Amino acid sequence: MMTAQIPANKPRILIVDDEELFLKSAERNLRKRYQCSLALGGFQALSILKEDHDFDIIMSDMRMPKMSGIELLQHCKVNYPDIVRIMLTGNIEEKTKQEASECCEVFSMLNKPCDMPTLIETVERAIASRY
Amino acid sequence: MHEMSNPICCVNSNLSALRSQASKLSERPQAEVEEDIITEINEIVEESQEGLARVTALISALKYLINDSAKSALIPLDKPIRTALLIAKSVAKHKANIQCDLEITTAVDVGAQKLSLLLVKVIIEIANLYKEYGDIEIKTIQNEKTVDLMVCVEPTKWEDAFNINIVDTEINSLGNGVKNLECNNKSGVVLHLVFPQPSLTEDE
Repeated sequence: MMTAQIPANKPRILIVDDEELFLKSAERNLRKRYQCSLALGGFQALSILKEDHDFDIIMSDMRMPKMSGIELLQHCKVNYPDIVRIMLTGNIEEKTKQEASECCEVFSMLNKPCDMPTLIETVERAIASRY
Repeated sequence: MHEMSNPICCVNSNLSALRSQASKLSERPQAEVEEDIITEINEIVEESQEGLARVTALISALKYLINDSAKSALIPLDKPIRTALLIAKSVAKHKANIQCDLEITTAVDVGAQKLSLLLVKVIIEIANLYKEYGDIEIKTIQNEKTVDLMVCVEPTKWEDAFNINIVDTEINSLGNGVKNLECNNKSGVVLHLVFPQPSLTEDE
Protein backbone atom coordinates (compact mmCIF):
# COMPACT_ATOMS: atom_id res chain seq x y z
CA MET A 1 0.00 0.00 0.00
CA MET A 2 1.32 3.42 -0.90
CA THR A 3 -0.16 6.43 0.86
CA ALA A 4 0.39 10.07 -0.01
CA GLN A 5 1.73 12.28 2.80
CA ILE A 6 -1.06 14.84 3.03
CA PRO A 7 -3.32 16.13 5.78
CA ALA A 8 -5.81 13.55 7.04
CA ASN A 9 -8.83 15.86 6.88
CA LYS A 10 -9.03 15.66 3.09
CA PRO A 11 -11.51 13.23 1.56
CA ARG A 12 -10.04 9.74 1.26
CA ILE A 13 -9.94 7.81 -1.96
CA LEU A 14 -8.78 4.25 -2.66
CA ILE A 15 -7.54 3.83 -6.24
CA VAL A 16 -7.31 0.29 -7.58
CA ASP A 17 -5.65 -0.84 -10.80
CA ASP A 18 -3.34 -3.64 -11.91
CA GLU A 19 -1.09 -1.06 -13.56
CA GLU A 20 1.36 0.72 -11.31
CA LEU A 21 1.92 3.29 -14.04
CA PHE A 22 -1.74 4.32 -13.90
CA LEU A 23 -1.86 4.35 -10.09
CA LYS A 24 1.13 6.66 -9.82
CA SER A 25 -0.11 9.13 -12.41
CA ALA A 26 -3.65 9.24 -10.96
CA GLU A 27 -2.30 9.77 -7.44
CA ARG A 28 0.00 12.53 -8.64
CA ASN A 29 -3.01 14.49 -9.88
CA LEU A 30 -5.45 13.74 -7.09
CA ARG A 31 -3.26 14.07 -4.01
CA LYS A 32 -3.57 17.86 -3.78
CA ARG A 33 -7.27 17.51 -3.10
CA TYR A 34 -7.60 14.03 -1.62
CA GLN A 35 -5.78 11.58 0.59
CA CYS A 36 -4.99 8.79 -1.84
CA SER A 37 -4.30 5.15 -1.07
CA LEU A 38 -3.25 2.88 -3.90
CA ALA A 39 -3.91 -0.82 -4.39
CA LEU A 40 -2.29 -2.92 -7.09
CA GLY A 41 -5.25 -5.19 -7.81
CA GLY A 42 -8.42 -6.39 -6.13
CA PHE A 43 -6.87 -8.57 -3.42
CA GLN A 44 -4.61 -5.77 -2.21
CA ALA A 45 -7.63 -3.46 -2.13
CA LEU A 46 -9.54 -5.96 0.02
CA SER A 47 -6.68 -6.29 2.47
CA ILE A 48 -6.47 -2.49 2.78
CA LEU A 49 -10.23 -2.28 3.36
CA LYS A 50 -10.09 -5.04 5.96
CA GLU A 51 -7.68 -2.93 8.03
CA ASP A 52 -9.25 0.44 7.34
CA HIS A 53 -12.48 1.09 5.45
CA ASP A 54 -12.86 4.75 6.30
CA PHE A 55 -12.74 5.84 2.66
CA ASP A 56 -15.06 8.26 0.90
CA ILE A 57 -14.51 6.78 -2.55
CA ILE A 58 -13.18 3.62 -4.16
CA MET A 59 -12.19 3.96 -7.80
CA SER A 60 -11.34 0.71 -9.56
CA ASP A 61 -10.35 -0.51 -12.99
CA MET A 62 -12.78 -3.09 -14.39
CA ARG A 63 -10.46 -5.62 -16.05
CA MET A 64 -7.84 -6.91 -13.64
CA PRO A 65 -6.27 -10.36 -13.22
CA LYS A 66 -7.46 -12.69 -10.44
CA MET A 67 -10.16 -10.33 -9.15
CA SER A 68 -12.06 -8.08 -11.54
CA GLY A 69 -13.23 -4.58 -10.67
CA ILE A 70 -16.79 -5.90 -10.84
CA GLU A 71 -16.11 -8.51 -8.14
CA LEU A 72 -14.30 -5.95 -6.00
CA LEU A 73 -17.00 -3.29 -6.23
CA GLN A 74 -19.75 -5.85 -5.66
CA HIS A 75 -17.95 -6.86 -2.47
CA CYS A 76 -17.74 -3.18 -1.46
CA LYS A 77 -21.41 -2.65 -2.23
CA VAL A 78 -22.29 -5.40 0.25
CA ASN A 79 -19.65 -4.86 2.95
CA TYR A 80 -18.87 -1.13 2.76
CA PRO A 81 -21.97 0.41 1.21
CA ASP A 82 -21.08 3.95 2.35
CA ILE A 83 -18.02 4.10 0.15
CA VAL A 84 -18.97 5.65 -3.19
CA ARG A 85 -17.97 3.42 -6.09
CA ILE A 86 -16.45 4.60 -9.36
CA MET A 87 -15.44 2.21 -12.14
CA LEU A 88 -12.85 2.94 -14.80
CA THR A 89 -12.79 0.89 -17.97
CA GLY A 90 -11.14 0.73 -21.35
CA ASN A 91 -13.88 -1.66 -22.46
CA ILE A 92 -15.85 -0.05 -25.23
CA GLU A 93 -18.80 -2.45 -25.24
CA GLU A 94 -21.82 -0.54 -24.00
CA LYS A 95 -23.63 -3.69 -22.90
CA THR A 96 -20.73 -4.84 -20.72
CA LYS A 97 -20.41 -1.39 -19.20
CA GLN A 98 -24.12 -1.19 -18.52
CA GLU A 99 -24.18 -4.61 -16.82
CA ALA A 100 -21.15 -3.80 -14.68
CA SER A 101 -22.60 -0.46 -13.74
CA GLU A 102 -25.90 -1.98 -12.65
CA CYS A 103 -24.57 -4.95 -10.67
CA CYS A 104 -22.12 -2.81 -8.68
CA GLU A 105 -24.39 0.22 -8.44
CA VAL A 106 -21.53 2.51 -9.34
CA PHE A 107 -21.82 6.26 -9.00
CA SER A 108 -20.08 6.68 -12.32
CA MET A 109 -18.49 4.61 -15.06
CA LEU A 110 -15.54 6.40 -16.62
CA ASN A 111 -13.90 5.52 -19.91
CA LYS A 112 -10.16 5.05 -20.18
CA PRO A 113 -8.35 7.04 -21.38
CA CYS A 114 -9.94 9.74 -19.28
CA ASP A 115 -8.66 13.29 -18.99
CA MET A 116 -7.84 14.68 -15.56
CA PRO A 117 -10.49 17.45 -15.44
CA THR A 118 -13.19 14.81 -16.10
CA LEU A 119 -11.77 12.48 -13.46
CA ILE A 120 -11.52 15.26 -10.85
CA GLU A 121 -14.99 16.56 -11.65
CA THR A 122 -16.44 13.05 -11.24
CA VAL A 123 -14.66 12.53 -7.92
CA GLU A 124 -15.92 15.92 -6.70
CA ARG A 125 -19.51 14.99 -7.59
CA ALA A 126 -19.08 11.60 -5.91
CA ILE A 127 -17.90 13.22 -2.69
CA ALA A 128 -20.74 15.75 -2.81
CA SER A 129 -23.19 12.84 -3.17
CA ARG A 130 -22.15 11.56 0.28
CA TYR A 131 -23.36 14.65 2.06
CA MET B 1 -7.88 -0.76 -28.03
CA HIS B 2 -8.17 -1.58 -24.34
CA GLU B 3 -4.48 -2.04 -23.61
CA MET B 4 -3.57 1.34 -25.04
CA SER B 5 -5.91 3.05 -22.58
CA ASN B 6 -3.67 2.74 -19.53
CA PRO B 7 -0.47 4.12 -21.05
CA ILE B 8 -2.39 6.92 -22.79
CA CYS B 9 -4.16 7.67 -19.52
CA CYS B 10 -0.80 7.79 -17.79
CA VAL B 11 0.70 10.17 -20.36
CA ASN B 12 -2.38 12.45 -20.25
CA SER B 13 -2.39 12.52 -16.51
CA ASN B 14 1.36 13.06 -16.26
CA LEU B 15 1.24 15.98 -18.67
CA SER B 16 -1.35 17.56 -16.43
CA ALA B 17 0.94 17.14 -13.40
CA LEU B 18 3.91 18.40 -15.40
CA ARG B 19 2.03 21.56 -16.37
CA SER B 20 1.26 22.19 -12.73
CA GLN B 21 4.88 21.66 -11.65
CA ALA B 22 6.18 23.84 -14.48
CA SER B 23 3.90 26.63 -13.37
CA LYS B 24 5.24 26.36 -9.80
CA LEU B 25 8.79 26.52 -11.14
CA SER B 26 8.11 29.62 -13.19
CA GLU B 27 6.94 31.45 -10.07
CA ARG B 28 10.20 30.92 -8.18
CA PRO B 29 13.72 32.27 -8.52
CA GLN B 30 15.95 29.60 -10.02
CA ALA B 31 18.03 29.24 -6.86
CA GLU B 32 14.95 28.28 -4.89
CA VAL B 33 13.78 25.46 -7.10
CA GLU B 34 13.09 22.59 -4.77
CA GLU B 35 14.83 19.27 -5.29
CA ASP B 36 11.60 17.31 -4.94
CA ILE B 37 10.01 19.16 -7.86
CA ILE B 38 12.97 18.27 -10.08
CA THR B 39 12.76 14.64 -8.91
CA GLU B 40 9.06 14.51 -9.64
CA ILE B 41 9.48 16.02 -13.09
CA ASN B 42 12.08 13.37 -13.89
CA GLU B 43 9.69 10.63 -12.71
CA ILE B 44 6.85 12.07 -14.79
CA VAL B 45 9.00 12.14 -17.93
CA GLU B 46 10.27 8.57 -17.34
CA GLU B 47 6.77 7.16 -16.77
CA SER B 48 5.41 9.00 -19.78
CA GLN B 49 8.20 7.62 -21.95
CA GLU B 50 7.37 4.12 -20.68
CA GLY B 51 3.71 4.66 -21.54
CA LEU B 52 4.53 5.90 -25.03
CA ALA B 53 6.92 2.98 -25.61
CA ARG B 54 4.09 0.55 -24.80
CA VAL B 55 1.69 2.23 -27.20
CA THR B 56 4.39 2.25 -29.89
CA ALA B 57 5.03 -1.49 -29.43
CA LEU B 58 1.31 -2.24 -29.72
CA ILE B 59 0.92 -0.14 -32.87
CA SER B 60 3.90 -1.92 -34.39
CA ALA B 61 2.40 -5.32 -33.55
CA LEU B 62 -0.95 -4.34 -35.05
CA LYS B 63 0.75 -3.14 -38.25
CA TYR B 64 2.57 -6.48 -38.43
CA LEU B 65 -0.72 -8.35 -38.10
CA ILE B 66 -2.55 -6.44 -40.81
CA ASN B 67 0.26 -6.75 -43.34
CA ASP B 68 -1.66 -9.17 -45.55
CA SER B 69 0.86 -8.88 -48.37
CA ALA B 70 3.32 -10.93 -46.31
CA LYS B 71 3.98 -14.34 -47.87
CA SER B 72 5.56 -17.49 -46.55
CA ALA B 73 9.26 -17.11 -46.00
CA LEU B 74 12.14 -18.72 -44.19
CA ILE B 75 12.21 -16.99 -40.81
CA PRO B 76 12.70 -17.86 -37.14
CA LEU B 77 9.42 -18.23 -35.22
CA ASP B 78 10.28 -15.71 -32.50
CA LYS B 79 8.92 -12.55 -34.15
CA PRO B 80 5.44 -13.87 -35.10
CA ILE B 81 5.10 -15.52 -31.68
CA ARG B 82 6.17 -12.44 -29.71
CA THR B 83 3.86 -10.25 -31.81
CA ALA B 84 0.94 -12.58 -31.10
CA LEU B 85 1.79 -12.60 -27.39
CA LEU B 86 1.80 -8.83 -27.17
CA ILE B 87 -1.68 -8.58 -28.73
CA ALA B 88 -3.13 -11.59 -26.91
CA LYS B 89 -1.88 -10.35 -23.53
CA SER B 90 -3.47 -6.99 -24.14
CA VAL B 91 -6.85 -8.67 -24.62
CA ALA B 92 -6.69 -11.56 -22.16
CA LYS B 93 -4.23 -10.64 -19.39
CA HIS B 94 -7.07 -10.46 -16.88
CA LYS B 95 -7.97 -14.10 -17.66
CA ALA B 96 -4.55 -15.74 -17.80
CA ASN B 97 -0.85 -15.28 -17.29
CA ILE B 98 0.44 -15.65 -20.86
CA GLN B 99 4.12 -16.42 -21.21
CA CYS B 100 6.60 -18.01 -23.59
CA ASP B 101 9.55 -20.33 -23.44
CA LEU B 102 11.23 -20.02 -26.82
CA GLU B 103 14.31 -21.99 -27.77
CA ILE B 104 16.70 -20.56 -30.33
CA THR B 105 15.46 -22.27 -33.46
CA THR B 106 16.49 -22.45 -37.11
CA ALA B 107 14.44 -20.54 -39.68
CA VAL B 108 11.41 -22.38 -41.01
CA ASP B 109 8.96 -21.89 -43.86
CA VAL B 110 6.09 -19.90 -42.35
CA GLY B 111 3.52 -17.25 -43.20
CA ALA B 112 4.43 -15.05 -40.26
CA GLN B 113 1.31 -12.90 -40.26
CA LYS B 114 -1.02 -15.92 -40.57
CA LEU B 115 0.77 -17.69 -37.73
CA SER B 116 0.50 -14.59 -35.52
CA LEU B 117 -3.21 -14.22 -36.21
CA LEU B 118 -3.79 -17.92 -35.53
CA LEU B 119 -1.96 -17.71 -32.20
CA VAL B 120 -3.84 -14.57 -31.16
CA LYS B 121 -7.16 -16.29 -31.87
CA VAL B 122 -6.21 -19.53 -30.11
CA ILE B 123 -4.71 -17.84 -27.03
CA ILE B 124 -7.67 -15.50 -26.51
CA GLU B 125 -10.21 -18.29 -26.95
CA ILE B 126 -8.46 -20.64 -24.53
CA ALA B 127 -7.86 -17.86 -21.99
CA ASN B 128 -11.60 -17.25 -21.93
CA LEU B 129 -12.16 -20.92 -21.09
CA TYR B 130 -10.25 -20.76 -17.82
CA LYS B 131 -12.57 -21.19 -14.86
CA GLU B 132 -10.07 -19.28 -12.73
CA TYR B 133 -6.92 -17.29 -13.46
CA GLY B 134 -4.33 -19.67 -14.94
CA ASP B 135 -1.23 -19.99 -17.10
CA ILE B 136 -0.89 -20.26 -20.86
CA GLU B 137 2.56 -21.05 -22.21
CA ILE B 138 3.84 -20.93 -25.77
CA LYS B 139 6.89 -23.14 -26.32
CA THR B 140 9.19 -23.80 -29.23
CA ILE B 141 11.46 -26.82 -29.37
CA GLN B 142 14.31 -27.36 -31.81
CA ASN B 143 14.34 -31.03 -32.83
CA GLU B 144 16.66 -32.83 -35.22
CA LYS B 145 14.30 -32.65 -38.18
CA THR B 146 11.62 -30.21 -37.08
CA VAL B 147 10.83 -27.13 -35.08
CA ASP B 148 7.81 -27.67 -32.83
CA LEU B 149 5.51 -24.96 -31.56
CA MET B 150 3.10 -25.72 -28.74
CA VAL B 151 0.43 -23.80 -26.85
CA CYS B 152 -0.08 -25.31 -23.38
CA VAL B 153 -2.66 -24.74 -20.64
CA GLU B 154 -3.12 -25.77 -17.01
CA PRO B 155 -5.49 -28.70 -17.54
CA THR B 156 -7.03 -28.71 -14.06
CA LYS B 157 -8.29 -25.15 -14.35
CA TRP B 158 -9.68 -25.60 -17.81
CA GLU B 159 -12.85 -26.65 -19.58
CA ASP B 160 -13.04 -30.27 -20.83
CA ALA B 161 -12.91 -29.81 -24.57
CA PHE B 162 -13.98 -27.45 -27.30
CA ASN B 163 -13.51 -26.62 -30.94
CA ILE B 164 -12.04 -23.47 -32.38
CA ASN B 165 -13.58 -22.89 -35.74
CA ILE B 166 -10.64 -22.13 -37.97
CA VAL B 167 -11.27 -22.32 -41.67
CA ASP B 168 -8.27 -23.70 -43.53
CA THR B 169 -5.52 -21.62 -42.05
CA GLU B 170 -2.44 -22.45 -44.12
CA ILE B 171 0.53 -21.20 -42.26
CA ASN B 172 3.23 -22.05 -44.77
CA SER B 173 3.84 -22.71 -48.44
CA LEU B 174 3.88 -26.48 -47.85
CA GLY B 175 0.17 -26.37 -47.18
CA ASN B 176 0.63 -27.10 -43.49
CA GLY B 177 -2.07 -25.56 -41.43
CA VAL B 178 -4.86 -25.87 -38.98
CA LYS B 179 -8.50 -26.66 -39.59
CA ASN B 180 -11.28 -26.79 -37.00
CA LEU B 181 -8.89 -27.12 -34.11
CA GLU B 182 -10.14 -29.46 -31.40
CA CYS B 183 -8.76 -28.66 -27.97
CA ASN B 184 -8.96 -30.79 -24.86
CA ASN B 185 -7.48 -30.71 -21.42
CA LYS B 186 -6.08 -34.23 -21.25
CA SER B 187 -2.51 -33.39 -22.20
CA GLY B 188 -2.54 -29.68 -21.56
CA VAL B 189 -1.28 -29.11 -25.12
CA VAL B 190 -4.03 -27.40 -27.08
CA LEU B 191 -2.09 -26.62 -30.23
CA HIS B 192 0.96 -28.42 -31.61
CA LEU B 193 2.44 -27.27 -34.91
CA VAL B 194 5.38 -29.04 -36.51
CA PHE B 195 7.54 -27.16 -39.00
CA PRO B 196 9.93 -29.26 -41.09
CA GLN B 197 13.42 -27.86 -41.44
CA PRO B 198 13.90 -26.48 -44.97
CA SER B 199 16.99 -28.50 -45.90
CA LEU B 200 15.16 -31.73 -45.05
CA THR B 201 12.13 -30.68 -47.07
CA GLU B 202 14.27 -30.02 -50.14
CA ASP B 203 15.88 -33.47 -49.87
CA GLU B 204 12.47 -35.10 -50.00
